[in-house]
Amino acid sequence: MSETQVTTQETQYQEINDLLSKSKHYKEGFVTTTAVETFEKGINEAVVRAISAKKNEPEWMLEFRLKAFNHWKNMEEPHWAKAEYTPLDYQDYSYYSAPECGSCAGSCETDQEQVIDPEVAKAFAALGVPIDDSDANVAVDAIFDSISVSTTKREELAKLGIIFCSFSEAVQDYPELVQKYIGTVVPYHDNYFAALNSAVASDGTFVYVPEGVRCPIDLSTYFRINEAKTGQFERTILIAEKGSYVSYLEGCSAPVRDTYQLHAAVVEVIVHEDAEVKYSTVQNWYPGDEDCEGGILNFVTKRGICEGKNSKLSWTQAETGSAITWKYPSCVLKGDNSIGEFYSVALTNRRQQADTGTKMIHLGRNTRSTIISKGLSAGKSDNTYRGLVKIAPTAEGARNFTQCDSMLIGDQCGAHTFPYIEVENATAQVEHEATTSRIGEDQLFYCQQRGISEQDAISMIVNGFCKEVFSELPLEFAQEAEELLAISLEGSVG
Amino acid sequence: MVKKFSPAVRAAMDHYAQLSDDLNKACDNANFVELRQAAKTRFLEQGFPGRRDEDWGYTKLTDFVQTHYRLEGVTHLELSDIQPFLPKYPALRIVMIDGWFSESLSDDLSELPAGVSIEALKDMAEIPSIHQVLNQHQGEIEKEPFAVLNTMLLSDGYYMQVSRNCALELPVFVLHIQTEDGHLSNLRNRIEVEENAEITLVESYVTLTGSAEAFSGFTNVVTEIDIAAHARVKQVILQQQAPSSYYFNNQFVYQGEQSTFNTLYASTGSMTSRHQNHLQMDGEHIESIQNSACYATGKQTVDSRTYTEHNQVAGFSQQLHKYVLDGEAVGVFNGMIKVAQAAQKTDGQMDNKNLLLSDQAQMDTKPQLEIYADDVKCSHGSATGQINEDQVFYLQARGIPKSQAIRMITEAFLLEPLEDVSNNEIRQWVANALSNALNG
Repeated sequence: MSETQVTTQETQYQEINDLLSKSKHYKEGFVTTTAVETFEKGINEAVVRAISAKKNEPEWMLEFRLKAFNHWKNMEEPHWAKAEYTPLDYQDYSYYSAPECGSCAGSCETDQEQVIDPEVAKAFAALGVPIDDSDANVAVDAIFDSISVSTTKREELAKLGIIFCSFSEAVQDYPELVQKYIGTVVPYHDNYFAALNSAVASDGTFVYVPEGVRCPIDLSTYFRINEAKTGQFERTILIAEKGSYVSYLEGCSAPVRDTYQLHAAVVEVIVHEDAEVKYSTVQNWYPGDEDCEGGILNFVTKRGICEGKNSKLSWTQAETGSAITWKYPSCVLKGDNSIGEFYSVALTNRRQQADTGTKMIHLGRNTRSTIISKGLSAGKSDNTYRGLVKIAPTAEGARNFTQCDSMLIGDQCGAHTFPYIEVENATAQVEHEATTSRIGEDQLFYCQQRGISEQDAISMIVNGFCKEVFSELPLEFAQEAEELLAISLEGSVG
Repeated sequence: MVKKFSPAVRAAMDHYAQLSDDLNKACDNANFVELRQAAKTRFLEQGFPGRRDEDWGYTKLTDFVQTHYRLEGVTHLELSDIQPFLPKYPALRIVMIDGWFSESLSDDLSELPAGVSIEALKDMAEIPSIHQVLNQHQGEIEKEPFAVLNTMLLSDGYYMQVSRNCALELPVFVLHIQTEDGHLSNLRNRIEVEENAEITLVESYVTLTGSAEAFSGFTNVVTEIDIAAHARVKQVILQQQAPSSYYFNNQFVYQGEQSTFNTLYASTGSMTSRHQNHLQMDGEHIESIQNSACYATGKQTVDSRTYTEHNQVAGFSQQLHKYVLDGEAVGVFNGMIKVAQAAQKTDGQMDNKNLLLSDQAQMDTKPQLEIYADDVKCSHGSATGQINEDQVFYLQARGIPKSQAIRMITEAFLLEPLEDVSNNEIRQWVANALSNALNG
């Protein structure tokens, strides 16, 4: 493709330092400078073909992309979420960006592990992401802009039959698996951003856990958007075969920029009979400056299907970043006795807007779901829970419990709850509760009286409020989430 | 963007626009013509809502637009005809036949207790200020498709004023009766309750032929209630129209400081019924109670919704909405509590509980909160399920046959929202109507 260009951006340093001084609250805001290959801005059929060619993809994948692209062209950008943003100019983003080395999955047979760009490696080290096999308890897939730069512990996992690799590699190495599952949970025409993602999907993670295998370590993906004005469109597919178990974590961050960046991911999870998947996310995309200018627009479609009997899917999320979050991790409970869970903490500060929640679609008999959502809003932000619980006529004996608690910190913010409950079976039992409150003055006084500073007291109370959800996160993540919460809340009081 | 409509919807829209033109041709009065025409322009743009409209996803109008309801002349009724629909308790009586004020059947308006005045809206058309009076809440009315349709076909209704410090002891009983198949009753009511006044209003929507299966009427109501400071309004609405009828009611209620508003909607009739309160709590220390008790069976759709806006400090609002659904009935509840930034110390509580008696029944509920003030206590709860077997067993163990036990539990469940009706006789009257529907 002739439009590809190579940029080094030393001149940006000053600019970025200025921005950083404005955004002290975001410690992951540094920029990595390395030789990168970035497509020119804009989206058209040629770009879609070029991305596919770049990744050396088979014909069926290109067809999938083109089908999605043609559908996307005729769709309208959705604005029903409780978040205001000016319609995006999709021609003003670049749809592919990668560090120069290791960008050619599949075709470039030179051992990838050794060609990680040192700058990129440094970036991940600074973020505390172990991309060098140093952490025994976790396997990491590190994604930098459009591509996966490293996937650790693959051999070890391979011995158990677990496939853990980047999505691009999976397309090359396990086309029959990818072809079988891609678009089955989130079809390319599902919604505007899912269609866009299907057309220009960059990279992502592919996990396959075979029958009866319990994955001994946590699998994890770390997403980093580095280039300015690029979109990240990762596609993650996770398949748990009969009787297997896996715990999967994802984290994300981006440098401080002054223009909105777009992140439109699609995650598909397929859980077969007796299998269990635990999917945890700590989302810390750059929220933008004081007015949330330049933050990440996080428009994500996450959905899992409990295909077999007695399967279980559990989503846990801690959302602290992004200028706008539009995300509804969902469970389709198709197998009898299957279980769906959703635990969420969403914190918004400054002018952040979050519209997040879940969908629990009960199809099978005796399916159960639990939704615990904790929303915290501070500053001038808006935090919305929007969720659907649907009990189909076939879902005999289904059960749902939903609890949405919101906490307001300051009198400039908003907390909203929009639940949709559709019950079409008389044997179902569906309960929903929601409360809204604030940090009590007496609670604060009690702590301060005992010598705890106001800031620490708030942090303690907030952590107590979120405990139910944090206890669902893997240990290190829970720690990280608590710290993030404390940092994000800084300056929200007083 | 120009909205697209299906041929059926387009045909229905043209039909009602034509009715509006006919009304104007027959015309009475320039004020009404002007109001109708402005609404018609709006209606033709906006049309009837479809399933893609967020607020109408659960309430389908596909069957409704198939029948084109007409504005027929008024039927002459004798007091004996309406006797079965009148309550036993003493009350001031207003009778609206097919949407028109009936002077002969209503109490003599010149002999109302001091401080109360009631007029037929059509008699007020000549008053120059009627335009302003009816346009006061235009902004909100415009957002509701059926309220726009109502203005477009503006014809009659009742206009009630209760003056300052007047506490009316007798309840005002309004009987809305439909007599003609295929007829549209278009009612525009306005109630003004001045400072520190008090009234109890009971409205009953019925069909002359009772529960005749084939009878299908369409009732479209807009009621505006202005409650001044310290005033108290209690309201009970009972909707028992014939089973193939349609009922749409939009109530726009405005409350001044320290006023109280207590409303109950009880529904058993109509193929599709939709009752909505738009409540603005525009002063400090306001109290409001909005309850509903709905029973539906067969292929009925029953929709009750509230929109409550807390705009000033220390407001208190409470809601309990209960549904019992049998057959293939669809229940819809949509409640929104909005708390503005200024409305600190708000206490808002909204509960929705639903009992499904059949496997084909369906309940769609959306209890929503939108909160911009931090020092508030707001919560909502919703639960849907079937009869608790333990409760049935408990009663059976005490010698009560199973069918009766189920009936007792169901009845007790449905009647709970009535507990906020303070007048014993009125409460009993509503309870009987609901019990009869349940056991019928």
